[in-house]
Amino acid sequence: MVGKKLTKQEELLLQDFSRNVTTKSSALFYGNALIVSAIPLWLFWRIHQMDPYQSALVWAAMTIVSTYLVAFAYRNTKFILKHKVAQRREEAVNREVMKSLGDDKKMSRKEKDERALWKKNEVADYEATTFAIFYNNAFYLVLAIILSFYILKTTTPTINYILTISATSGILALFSTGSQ
Amino acid sequence: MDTTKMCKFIIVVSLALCTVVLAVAGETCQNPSVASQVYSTHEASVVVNTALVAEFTLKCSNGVKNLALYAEINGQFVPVTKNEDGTHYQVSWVGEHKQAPRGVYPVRVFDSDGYQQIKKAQRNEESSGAIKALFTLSIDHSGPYRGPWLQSEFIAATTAIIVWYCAYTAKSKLQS
Repeated sequence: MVGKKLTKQEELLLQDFSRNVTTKSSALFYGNALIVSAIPLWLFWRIHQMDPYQSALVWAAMTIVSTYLVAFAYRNTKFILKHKVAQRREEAVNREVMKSLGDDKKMSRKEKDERALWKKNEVADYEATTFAIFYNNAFYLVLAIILSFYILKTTTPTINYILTISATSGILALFSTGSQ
Repeated sequence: MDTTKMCKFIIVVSLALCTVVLAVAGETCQNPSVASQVYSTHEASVVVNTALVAEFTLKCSNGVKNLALYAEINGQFVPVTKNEDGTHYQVSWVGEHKQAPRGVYPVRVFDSDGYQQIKKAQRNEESSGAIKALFTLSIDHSGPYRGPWLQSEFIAATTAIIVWYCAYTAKSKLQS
């Protein structure tokens, strides 16, 4: 058993049920998480009148923490959504793949099924990735605005920033660990 | 001799009367020429009260300066302040915003005689509207700015909640 090479189907299944993401997805997640975590900096600079030079260290530290937690939320949300998306798109993808490969007599049935499975995985992966980013970004911004402008508006700007970013990214990460 | 004395007496009395008339006439501004600047409060989100201010210079054809003036502004009679040489005058009124809505406010300026007539009319509980003012200025008050109807953070929060709700609904449909 040790050293046995996995078939393409087994590899796809492992990939499907694994929480690990590809390097490309990981770069996409961390890049988006960094941008979203940096957006509140403009609010706190221009609206709450924080001084950029004095607050640089706090901003850098909280942005790094927030980036990690938001990327964590992206990964979890994507994993939960991927299977649901795959179930919804399975029929349409199969139809499309069979239509494009239907006339190819050289390809066996098994190869066509593998191609359809791979395509389904790719479509589900892409749609789940983009939707996870969209949903978590919307949730992040709602929480950041409500916390900073309504709940924490009587606190000093530095405390407001630290509590807002930590609570927002923490809640996002927490909610993403749910099973649904 | 008696006739000469009588003529001298008449001349002295006439001169005395003329002096009195001229002295009295010298206290009143004849044909006033006014150059004015007005100011009213334009902002109510931070400022608590509305101020109406009128500054003016007054030139009289008979050369009278340094007059004691009084003004009726927004229903109140107030003394008009002046600078040291009596060439520049200023009158102001301060009150709550609701007491000074948008509109044109006439400022009737009176000299001492006019003010005495007003005081007499007030004692007799008569209207002072018929008393002629020395001149009248106008302050055009456009009304203060009270801030936007909706705060920007409310609009931002509402928009963000709507977008999140759409995303949440789509996610729920996907997971159903």
